[in-house]
Amino acid sequence: MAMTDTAGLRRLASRIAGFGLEGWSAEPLGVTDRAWSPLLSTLALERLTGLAMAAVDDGWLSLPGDLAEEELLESQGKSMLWSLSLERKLVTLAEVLESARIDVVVLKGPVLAHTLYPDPSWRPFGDLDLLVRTRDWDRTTALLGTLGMRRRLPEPRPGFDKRFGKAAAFIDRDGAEVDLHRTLTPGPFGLWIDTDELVDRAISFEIGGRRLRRLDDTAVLLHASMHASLGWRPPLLWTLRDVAESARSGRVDWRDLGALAARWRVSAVLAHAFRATRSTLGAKLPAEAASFATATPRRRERRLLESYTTDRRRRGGTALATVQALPDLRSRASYVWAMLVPNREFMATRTGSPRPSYLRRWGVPLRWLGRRGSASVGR
Amino acid sequence: VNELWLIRSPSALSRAVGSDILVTAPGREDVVRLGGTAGAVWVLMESPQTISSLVDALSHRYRAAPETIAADVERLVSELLEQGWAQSVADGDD
Repeated sequence: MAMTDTAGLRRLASRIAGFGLEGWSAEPLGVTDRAWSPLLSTLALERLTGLAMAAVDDGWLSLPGDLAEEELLESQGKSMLWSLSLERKLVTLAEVLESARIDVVVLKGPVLAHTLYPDPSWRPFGDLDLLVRTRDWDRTTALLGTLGMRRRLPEPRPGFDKRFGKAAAFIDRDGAEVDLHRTLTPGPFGLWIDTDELVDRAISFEIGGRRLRRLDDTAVLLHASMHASLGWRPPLLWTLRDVAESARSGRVDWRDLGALAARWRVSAVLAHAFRATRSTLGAKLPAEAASFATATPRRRERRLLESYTTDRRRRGGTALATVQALPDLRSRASYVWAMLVPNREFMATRTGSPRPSYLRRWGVPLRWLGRRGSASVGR
Repeated sequence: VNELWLIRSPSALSRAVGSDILVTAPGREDVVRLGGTAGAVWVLMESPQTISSLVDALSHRYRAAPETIAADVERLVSELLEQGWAQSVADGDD
């Protein structure tokens, strides 16, 4: 198989994503001239240029000539400039939120870059992710508005965010995105997480001479695993590297992780992330992680996980799983109503059309009903 | 300056890009690129250094006579101090 096809590129990029991890294949990797250009695009998309630079410095990865090395350097330079500009904004933003007495917890990129990776340049990031308590949600969104940040997508229905939402994306004048989180993931798994507990457990770290708050190391691994398992299909390579880095930090309380996973019903999510990290990056995870990976989670958790990790996701499986996970008929009805009949502003922004079609939006649930109807007739 | 212990400013944000270092800080718009010897000085200044310790380390690394590089190192450190990228600390234990 040519190394420039999608599967071949992912295999190449996976080897680079596993660079230096225990268990990863140390057999030197040479990139051909033909594979280089598409591989560079993949490395940039998968945020692996920093790891690739380190692998080249190490001598494990060889590129097809000086021009390729210059291109990699240029790509990494761009992503580092962006990461630095986001970190500047993060410090300023955290000061504003803290002065408004809003507990804010920094998630993902900057935290992982500074506290887990051997060098922060190994972990580029494209946006900022901040977690706040649900009770602070309205004040925080209003404050971001006063700072000139524009919400990318309006709320589908008043109150939706605080009841069912995961996050809202805000864009500033420079195009920098801040994802304001109320929980860690969309859908049922996000609804079961106790955000207040995550905020209460948060610990401090330092960026730019400022003490900021982040998830504790056990919760970081939980979040990295959720992001890897539930974010994209197949999992993005950098999210798997995040799982490997957080699992091997030596600072995870595995008993606590097991307790959180049981209480928040994410054992299947962790198992999926650990298995994917091992099989995709070739990484050997700590023995405690291996026991999660081999455990058999409850059937219901596995079914829900499939609504994110199989083709059901594309057919609205996550929304359907959310309905099933909601505790009572009233909240189910509110959720379904907001999904089926969001306000005009939401629809217009979502579709990019000033006269959006509700019929098209209803296509997915109508197909569900159609399938259920024919299944009943068949029975 | 020669007698001072010097360290990166705690507010400085930096990233390595190859042998260069990009440096900026919250509240500033500028990003400086420190290449070659300047990048090496920045890496060393993660822990407190004097001008002499920097000159010693660099002369060893680049196999250059200390007197050849001393003036450049002094000039660079003065510039880092002036622009707020570095600061002095009480002693080498900080």
